[in-house]
Amino acid sequence: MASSLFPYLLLSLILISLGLVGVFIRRNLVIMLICIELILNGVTINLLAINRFVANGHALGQVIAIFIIALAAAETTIALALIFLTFKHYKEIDAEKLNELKG
Amino acid sequence: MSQNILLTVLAVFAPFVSIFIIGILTRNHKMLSAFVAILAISLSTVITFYLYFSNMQGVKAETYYFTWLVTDYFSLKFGVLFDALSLGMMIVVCLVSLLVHIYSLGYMHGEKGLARFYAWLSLFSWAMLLFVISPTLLQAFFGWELVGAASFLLIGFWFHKPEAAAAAKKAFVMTRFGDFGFFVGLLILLVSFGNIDFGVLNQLGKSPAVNHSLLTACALLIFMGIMGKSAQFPLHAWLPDAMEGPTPVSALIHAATMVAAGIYLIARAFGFFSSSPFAMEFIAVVGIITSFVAATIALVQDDVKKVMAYSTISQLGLMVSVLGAGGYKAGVFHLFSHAFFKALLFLCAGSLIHHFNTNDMWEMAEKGGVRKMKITLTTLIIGSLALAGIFPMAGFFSKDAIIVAFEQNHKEAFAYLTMLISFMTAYYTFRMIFVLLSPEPAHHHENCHEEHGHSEHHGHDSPYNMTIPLIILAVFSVFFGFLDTPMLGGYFDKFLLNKHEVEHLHWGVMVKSTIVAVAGIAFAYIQFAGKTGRREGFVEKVGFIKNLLVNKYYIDDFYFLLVRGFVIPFATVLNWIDRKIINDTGVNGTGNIVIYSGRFVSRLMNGMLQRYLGTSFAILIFILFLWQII
Amino acid sequence: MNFPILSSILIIPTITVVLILFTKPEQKNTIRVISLIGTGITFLLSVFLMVSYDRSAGGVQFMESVSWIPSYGINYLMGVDGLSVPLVFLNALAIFTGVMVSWHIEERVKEFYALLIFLATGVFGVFMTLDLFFFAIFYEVAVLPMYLLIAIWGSGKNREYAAFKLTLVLFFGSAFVMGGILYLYKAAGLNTFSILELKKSAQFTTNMQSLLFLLFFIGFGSIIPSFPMHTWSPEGHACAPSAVSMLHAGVLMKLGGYGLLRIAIPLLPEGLRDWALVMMALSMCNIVYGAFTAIAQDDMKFMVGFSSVSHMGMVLFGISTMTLTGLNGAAFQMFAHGIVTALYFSSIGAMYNKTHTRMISDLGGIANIMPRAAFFFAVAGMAGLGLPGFAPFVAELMVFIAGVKKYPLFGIISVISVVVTAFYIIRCIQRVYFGKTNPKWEGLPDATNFDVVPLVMLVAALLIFGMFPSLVLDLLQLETRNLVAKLGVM
Repeated sequence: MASSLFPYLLLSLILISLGLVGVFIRRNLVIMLICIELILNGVTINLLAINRFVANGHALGQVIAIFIIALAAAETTIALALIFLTFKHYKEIDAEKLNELKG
Repeated sequence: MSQNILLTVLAVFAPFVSIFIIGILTRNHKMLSAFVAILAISLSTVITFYLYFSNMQGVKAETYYFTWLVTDYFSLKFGVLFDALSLGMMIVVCLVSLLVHIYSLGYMHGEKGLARFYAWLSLFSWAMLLFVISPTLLQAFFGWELVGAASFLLIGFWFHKPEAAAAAKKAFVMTRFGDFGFFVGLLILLVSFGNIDFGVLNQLGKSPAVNHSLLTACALLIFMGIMGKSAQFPLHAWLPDAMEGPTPVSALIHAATMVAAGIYLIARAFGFFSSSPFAMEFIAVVGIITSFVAATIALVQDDVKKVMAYSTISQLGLMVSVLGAGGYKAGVFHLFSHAFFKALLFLCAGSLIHHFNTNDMWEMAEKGGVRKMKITLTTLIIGSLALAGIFPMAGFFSKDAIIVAFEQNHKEAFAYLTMLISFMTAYYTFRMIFVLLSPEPAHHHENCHEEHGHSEHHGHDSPYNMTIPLIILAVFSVFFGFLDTPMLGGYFDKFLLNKHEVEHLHWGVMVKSTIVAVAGIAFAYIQFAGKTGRREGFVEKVGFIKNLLVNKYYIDDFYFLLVRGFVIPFATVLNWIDRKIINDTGVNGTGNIVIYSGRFVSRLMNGMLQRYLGTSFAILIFILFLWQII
Repeated sequence: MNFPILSSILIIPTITVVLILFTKPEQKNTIRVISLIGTGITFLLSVFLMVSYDRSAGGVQFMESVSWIPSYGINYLMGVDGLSVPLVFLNALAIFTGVMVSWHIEERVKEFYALLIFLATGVFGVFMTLDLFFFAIFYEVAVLPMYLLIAIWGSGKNREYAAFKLTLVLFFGSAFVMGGILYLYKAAGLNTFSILELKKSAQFTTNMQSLLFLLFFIGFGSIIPSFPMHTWSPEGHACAPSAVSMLHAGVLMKLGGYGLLRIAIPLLPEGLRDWALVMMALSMCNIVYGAFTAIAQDDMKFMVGFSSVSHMGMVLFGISTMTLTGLNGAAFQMFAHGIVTALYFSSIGAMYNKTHTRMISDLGGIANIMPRAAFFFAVAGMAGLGLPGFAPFVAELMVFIAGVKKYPLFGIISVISVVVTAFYIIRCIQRVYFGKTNPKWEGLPDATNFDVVPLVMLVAALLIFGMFPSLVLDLLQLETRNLVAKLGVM
């Protein structure tokens, strides 16, 4: 186990950046969902690491991490269900082509 | 509270109770309602007469106040003013009202809304008495408005007749227009001096601290209300139309009492009005113009009620004018005597109308049978003689008193005009009488009997409940005038003014006015008596005068034009502005701006999920950046 | 602790609404009876409130206070003073008679009564709360159901437009009120929403008062309604069902005047002094312009709507004089006008239920076939045109006295409305009720005995308060005196 904060922060930065880039450039809804998961995981690592190195002895970061995991699970379920329904309805999961909300 | 005050309150509120008893309990029983109303007004009458007889030798003025409304700034009092003037007027109002109540039993027999009719009559009696006893101008206004409403309801009693409905509206709106002035004058007085009673009001002019032009303005404004209610030129046009109401109502409201309310008010606030010479001059001139105009129009009327209506306006004009000239007693005296004989004339007309079912004097003459209605005819002639001013009727003395008052106040021109007017009065009154007395066309008479076989009352007089009030009023019309003569020790002066020296008779005026009146009657006799069929008097023979008079000096047309050509178009324009400019442009315009700006902003919504994401991320970064700076 | 009468007045209608919601929609009569009983109890309570309010003591009475969000100083603070007691009574009267007037409604009875009573509950809340936060909440509650009530049960093809416009304008106003309240809270810096606390110790600079007053004036002005934000009112009245018009014109408009008298004037007296002339000018437009515009209307409800604009102008005019008489007159006019308009709309409704038209030019001779409906409209008309003996006369008299004293010229101009009002009311009576009956309407039944009950109640109220104005005026004066003291001796 590394004894400094920096590698963890770097890891979480990489994960978040990858996730952001993925969300912005990929057109496939499933991939975008995966990228969102990446962001969430990056945040989780970030929180845990800061909790461990900056405020050791408190459990707030861990509690929030568990919240995020639970929420991410719920969110993935709903999002996948939505994507599934979208595909059934439109035969399409390309974000560029799903623009019916255009004003 | 003294006995006098207590009894006065009782007399005033008896009809008030009757309104509610009729409205709540007996509205479905016609005769019961009539009974309640008659009982109430009889009670008032009996009390009033009791008050009179117990104060016969001079009334000590008393006032009593009930506090109605207190604010820190002013307090509104209601009260009772008991003095000779109010007692006299109460007697007139109660007596005429009682007689009209009884008369209506016959006249309105079988009428569907009889309960309503009596409720309104009670309302009127209450409101009028409330007006008469009022010690403050505000309470007077209170009663003043209420009698107006009662008059509206009673003129429009037969509301299914469009003419009656229109007449009721005209009466109300036109008097209300006058009341605008009254109300403003009242407000200015209230604001400047508080809710003062008539005693203080009448003394205002004497105090040097008071702004006299303000008083003049108030007097003129209040006189505007009087012009409306007492039908003075040019706000007189509603009164002839008001004849669409039932005739007993015309007798009570539009001859004897309500239209005289204005005269009463001038008399009540006489000191106030006389503190402004200009206002007095104005009042005198308006009165005499009214009197002249109305008398000339009456010359050519065919409807018996219209003749009487114009004659009422003319007589009211005289009273106003003489009060304006400073003849307090003459005005009040004529007010009382006129109330009796004009009510009598109207009730006689009602009896004729009831009998012949028409208002037109020529048609009455044609149907024939006036001569057989002995009581009606006799009392009608008594009333006409009183109106024309023939000795010894009440009108003779009161009209002479007016002429004397004009002369004493150095208004000779007015005295001569009054002579001219009384000539015309005698002429048009007896024109009506002679037309009614036309010999019946023999052939027509027979037809009449064949055709109208069912009308078995043909040739009979009206029922007793109608003729008895006529007889009572006739007695008053004959004898009332003597109250002002030395024969009775100048009783009227003593009663009203507490004046003890007896005025001698003015023989010169008496002779002159008798000559004038007899000349009028003779003129009418020459032109109308003893002939049959429609015929024209000397006025109708001159084309343009006839046109002018038949069209009532085009005053009605002027009002029609004012309403149709100005008020309603003005309202329409305002409505157009409201709809088109304020609503469609202002309100909807604001709405449209919101809609269009929404449409503009909505272009940003291109449905690209990732662009939204990018935008929100950029905004987030921007906010963080700003936060850093701050 | 004493019997919590104010909360009862608030809770009983709420319970009524809940009970209605749990009733089957088919059981229309059950719903009506529940509403009648609920509002009846409320009405009795309000009468009790009016009688048991201690006039000699004055001030805020029947206080109830429960802490709600202490960190922001928000309390459930209820209490009534001389100003609110008559208005609580007025609202109870309007909703009680309104329930009876809507007896004939057959469409979605359940939702109708639930919304109607909900609306009245909101109004009760506004009149009784002394906490600005709750004031704002109840204010919204009172305005919101109006949209549905007009859009669903209204009449005429314009009703959705009217409902929409009404709601938008009122929310436009309430946005200003809300902003004003929040800003006031912030500016006072006392961490309390209690009007009493603020009245006691809040200090505002003159400029701040002026700005805040403007916010409240725009906000409350749009519901009064002051010219030029009045256009929602005639249209809203015209499209709403009778009971809704009664509540709307009878009570809802009074929220504006009440808000000014309750919040804006005691807290921001300097503001009133700054804006009094503007207020007076706008009220002149209301009074004279409203009255003239009423002449040109063909729909009777439009006419009454514009007459309301004209008469509510009196409230503004009275306030703008900043004198005791003027404020008394304004407060009394709110009360009196509430009863008169309720009577107007219920009597028009009694006729409209049968004829299904309100166009003056189509009607005529209605008094021959419906003497009762005609009688009650005539009474309302007479009261409305300021006939002595009815309550509005007293109010108008006081407003005019104050007006003539303070602004002589404009006071006299405003008196013109007396003539114009008489003209359009009498003309309407003549054209609608008098004259020959159009054969089209022959044989229509008159209002039944049951229909007449609410009308009789309203007429009785008009007469009682017209002949004994002290009953209400003594209450109002307890509060207006304080207002005048705040405004300084004028």
